[in-house]
Amino acid sequence: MATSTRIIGSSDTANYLEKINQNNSRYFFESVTLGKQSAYKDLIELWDECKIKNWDGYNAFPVQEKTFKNTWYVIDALPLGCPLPSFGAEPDGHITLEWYRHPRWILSVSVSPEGYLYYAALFGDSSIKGTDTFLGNLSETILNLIERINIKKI
Amino acid sequence: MLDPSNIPPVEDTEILTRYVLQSRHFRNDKTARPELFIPHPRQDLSVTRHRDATENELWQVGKNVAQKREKNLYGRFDIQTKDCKINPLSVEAKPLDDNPNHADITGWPSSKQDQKELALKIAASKSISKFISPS
Repeated sequence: MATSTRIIGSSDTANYLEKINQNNSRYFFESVTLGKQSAYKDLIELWDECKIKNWDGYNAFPVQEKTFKNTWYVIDALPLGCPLPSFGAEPDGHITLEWYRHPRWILSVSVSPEGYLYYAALFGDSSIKGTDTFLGNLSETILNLIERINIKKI
Repeated sequence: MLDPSNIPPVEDTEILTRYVLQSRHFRNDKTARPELFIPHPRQDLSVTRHRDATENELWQVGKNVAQKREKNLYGRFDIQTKDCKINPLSVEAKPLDDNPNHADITGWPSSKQDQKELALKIAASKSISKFISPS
């Protein structure tokens, strides 16, 4: 027989529920962070390799700490369940995030020290490019491009 | 190698090499990452022509480039000239004292998003090789 429980408001109960809620939120946040740990680790490795001048042998600029931090926040901003990118660096010191299925089915986003996101994508014979300002959230355009990369059937 | 006193213009059918001095410039599936084709801080992108060069000579150029820059030579990608001539890019012979086969991919736009689009297209071109390890 089904039963229902009616919680009568009281400050103890409210506090109790609030505590459970906070624990759940923390658990959820930790799960999300844990899911992205491999990305953060790769990002740290990349920065270690590319924070020196001429890291590419072609006189590249070093990747600045500001660029590293911006990229970290971009990873933070990826929604739960979103595929994680691989990382690279460009000779002007930007960090690249790459969502890749095939050389002609690819999204590359460059993160600059000023917080600009320069992106270009190939979908077969068509291409899309643009620039966003990163203010803590990824634009719908970039999120849609990530989704489009991911739904291709190989 | 080409005769330094008689350098012909680069033809569309010629094969060009871009040397890889950074492990992050190729993927596990042996394809090129577009970052390899972003031309900074120079405005042009250095390549080496195969014309009149033996395989040994091509690798020797790569080794010289790596040695000069105190880097490892991981390998190279080969690509046909016509696939690098994506509007507005062109390919020009630019012989160097130690490499008469040197050429530049020139005409890069200044906008970063435009550069990225071109680099993606070059890295995805039909004629580009898989990653080639040094022999």
